[in-house]
Amino acid sequence: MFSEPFLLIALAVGLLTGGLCAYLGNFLLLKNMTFISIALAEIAALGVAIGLALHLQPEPIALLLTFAAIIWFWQQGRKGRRATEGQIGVLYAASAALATIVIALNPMLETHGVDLLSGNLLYATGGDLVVVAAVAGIVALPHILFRRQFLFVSFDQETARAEGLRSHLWDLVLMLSIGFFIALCMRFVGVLFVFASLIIPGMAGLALFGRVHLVFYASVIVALCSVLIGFVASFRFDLPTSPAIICTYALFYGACLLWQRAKR
Amino acid sequence: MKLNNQALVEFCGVTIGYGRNRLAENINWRVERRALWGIVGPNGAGKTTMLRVLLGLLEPLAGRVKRTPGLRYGYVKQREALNETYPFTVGEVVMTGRYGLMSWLARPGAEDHAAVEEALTRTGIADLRDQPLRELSGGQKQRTLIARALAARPDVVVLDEPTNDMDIAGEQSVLNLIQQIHERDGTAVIIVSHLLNTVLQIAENLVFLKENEYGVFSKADFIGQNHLERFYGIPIQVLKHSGGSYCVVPNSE
Repeated sequence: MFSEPFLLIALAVGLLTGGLCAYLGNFLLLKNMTFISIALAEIAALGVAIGLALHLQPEPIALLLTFAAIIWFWQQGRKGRRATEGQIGVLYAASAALATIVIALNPMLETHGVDLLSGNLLYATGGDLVVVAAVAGIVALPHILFRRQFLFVSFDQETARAEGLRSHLWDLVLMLSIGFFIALCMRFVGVLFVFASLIIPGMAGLALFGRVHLVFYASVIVALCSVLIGFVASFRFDLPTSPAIICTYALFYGACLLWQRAKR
Repeated sequence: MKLNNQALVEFCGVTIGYGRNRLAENINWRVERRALWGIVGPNGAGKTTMLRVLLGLLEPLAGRVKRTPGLRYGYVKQREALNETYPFTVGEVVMTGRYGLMSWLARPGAEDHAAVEEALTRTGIADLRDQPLRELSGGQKQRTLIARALAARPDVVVLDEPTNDMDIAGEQSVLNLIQQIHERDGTAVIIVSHLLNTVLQIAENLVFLKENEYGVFSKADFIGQNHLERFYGIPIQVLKHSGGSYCVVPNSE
């Protein structure tokens, strides 16, 4: 299996996207914004569908729509009016439906393996891997430099602002970094993989550890292990790749919960 | 630069509220150095709104809030608003009180750790440094929030409902701590609470907020001149204890 270059490339893309989504997802969990993550993933998917249907590069359109949604959520937060679950649900459902319509109107997209739900990891090329790695590096840099600020505004934005931090701006940069990565890796991994990678590894980390930095490390390790095991399982049993990885996430999470219960 | 003889914060004709909903208008109020203020009033009167305007979290609908340049707030938010999703330790939470003093790329240094340690010791929770905040009692969480405010070495400490849902011993412990902060550091303190008796124990001056009305009083004036009955709209009896503290109760006669 590991002698096939296209499989190695697909695995590398999966590890990069799963690992970084797991890290970024901790901020969404901390901010109690779980459902915004799937709305953003679906909005990015809509952008990819529109771009491909118009024979354009899908990433800029995915970025545009994702950033527009993030700025809208951010503006709501600034006004003290957090987006309700209903509003998030509307965005998710409408984006999913529109993306489905766009693909249905362009059957050639399906024949070229465009699967926005489950993704197309196996179609990733060496050039795609370079792009994903570069994007991961661009997103990782502000998180290395400003992790302290991102954690503070996610934990307690109001106090951060009272102390004089420009918490709204830090929050915007954080959310745009997450949206940037989601939009640019959506084409390869699909909505379900992005959503699952943002949420499940972080939940597993919370079940395992009682220290914030350990939760972050554990979430990334769970994601990397799940991607590797799920990828191998999909090859071995001829399963769709992203769903196999997601099921592995869920199994890991279940194991973490059992371990947490046994620890008590 | 702080100007010794001027107010730290001054409300100049400030109107507070949201959109078209004006809660109090034309507020003129000064917070001097070493002052100890209580902001009281019934629920929904605008106390928290006024606090948010004071801290700069909300713009006033009219008027202006002047602040001494470089003014540092120590904000003690309501315990119920704490985010307990992730297991931040007491030490980590208190350290966030230093973040407003650090430059963008800075990491906490020796001075920051020393300030945190001092704040933990003063609030009596140094032994809880490595405990997750979410596993603490209400009183311990309150002390953690106060320690965070102290770590910032503030000019003004602002506390929002600091004794809610506390038993009498816990409440007294927190009030003693607040008084100690005020007396030892000369820090101005502002307490926002709907619990009038709690605030009367330590506040020297009061801002009273009621629907579309506000008043600024010394404690003696507020108690002595029947403002209580006017603001609360019911007969009030003020009981003074031998120790000099007051207790306000409805007058059932």
